[in-house]
Amino acid sequence: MSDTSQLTLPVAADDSADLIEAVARRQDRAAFAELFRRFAPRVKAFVMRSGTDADTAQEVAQETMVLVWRRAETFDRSRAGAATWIFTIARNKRVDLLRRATHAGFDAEDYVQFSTEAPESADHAAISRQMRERIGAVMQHLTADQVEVLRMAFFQDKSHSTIAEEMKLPLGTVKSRIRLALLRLREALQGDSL
Amino acid sequence: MIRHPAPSELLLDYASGALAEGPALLVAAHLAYSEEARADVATLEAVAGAMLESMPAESLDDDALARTLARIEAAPTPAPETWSNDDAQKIVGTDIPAPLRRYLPQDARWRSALGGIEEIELPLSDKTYRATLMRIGAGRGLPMHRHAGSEYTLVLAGGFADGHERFDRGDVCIADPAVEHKPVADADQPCICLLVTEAPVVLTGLFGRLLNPFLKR
Repeated sequence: MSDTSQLTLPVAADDSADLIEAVARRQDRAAFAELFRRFAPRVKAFVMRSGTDADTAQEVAQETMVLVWRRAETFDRSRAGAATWIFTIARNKRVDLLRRATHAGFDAEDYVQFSTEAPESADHAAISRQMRERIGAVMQHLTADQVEVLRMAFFQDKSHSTIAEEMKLPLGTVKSRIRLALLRLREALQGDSL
Repeated sequence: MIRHPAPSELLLDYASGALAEGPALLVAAHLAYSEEARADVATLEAVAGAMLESMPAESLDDDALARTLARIEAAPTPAPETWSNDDAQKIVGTDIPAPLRRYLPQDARWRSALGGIEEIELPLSDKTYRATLMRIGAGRGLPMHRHAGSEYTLVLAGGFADGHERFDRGDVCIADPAVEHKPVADADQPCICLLVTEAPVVLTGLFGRLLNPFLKR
């Protein structure tokens, strides 16, 4: 086991996105090694939060990084930050390895074909895309109750109904916390862009 | 405009990965129609990304990077062949989002099911849910039924009315076990839906009770 103290530095703004693009463009192994140092230990820690043992969590982390290499070309920094993109890969791997099922992904190309929505909502999405990288600051607009639900969902891999059971809350209360959290995030993201 | 978007808690369960394969497939397909739901899922995923970034690191085995690089050297498993949009449309009768095309079996064709409906099963690896494409003829209704578990419907073409509410292309309808309902397709065209059910549907009424023994799976 290696010393972890050197790994706990905060990940800098989005030069991780530059690293992913370097992997995509020229299969840059040094860039990949740096991404591995930044994210593999965090993915492992993230997966262990849900009670998964260390070996399995390390397996999820390694398999996630294999896909970071293979799918680097599909990374689009205008749609998601590096950490967000890596989270979605790790989430799907966790489902794949722990539940032996598939997490159905969404295809960006579909939107053009299927959407029937007004252009205003597309503007709203564009605003959110720019502001999502500041999500940490935006999360300060949430109440402690709302943050707790989001933390249980993501860190512990729990559904909203399991969260309601464990917090001994009526299902409706948890649903409205989630709805209000999303509403506040949406408002804060739009407010920031003005 | 999507009048019946997937509720926030379903989007959170999808974004966290806690949602079972069947309903997750329905949400993934719904995202093709609803920009608002896509923006919400992207926002939730960004929250998770920020949480991932702020995690204290967990140590890995010393050779973890070397082992990962070795896996990268090995040939990747080729992606399974999936249906093109046009070919799927010929079989299904409407265009369907990519997540559904990936589940459409090679020998897909409409088969008659009970109550004058037709269906194509989309095989899931998680058998706690069953996912089917369902086609209801214009103006026809499903037999009155209740649910032993949750039922999720996504409209892919046409529309249906369920009591007081209307559901159109892209809309999500969630029926919980307490609800007894009778969806009726619009009169002018067949309605094609993705139906995800948790457990066998319980038919009610005399005809339903007679048929029910044959529906057990």
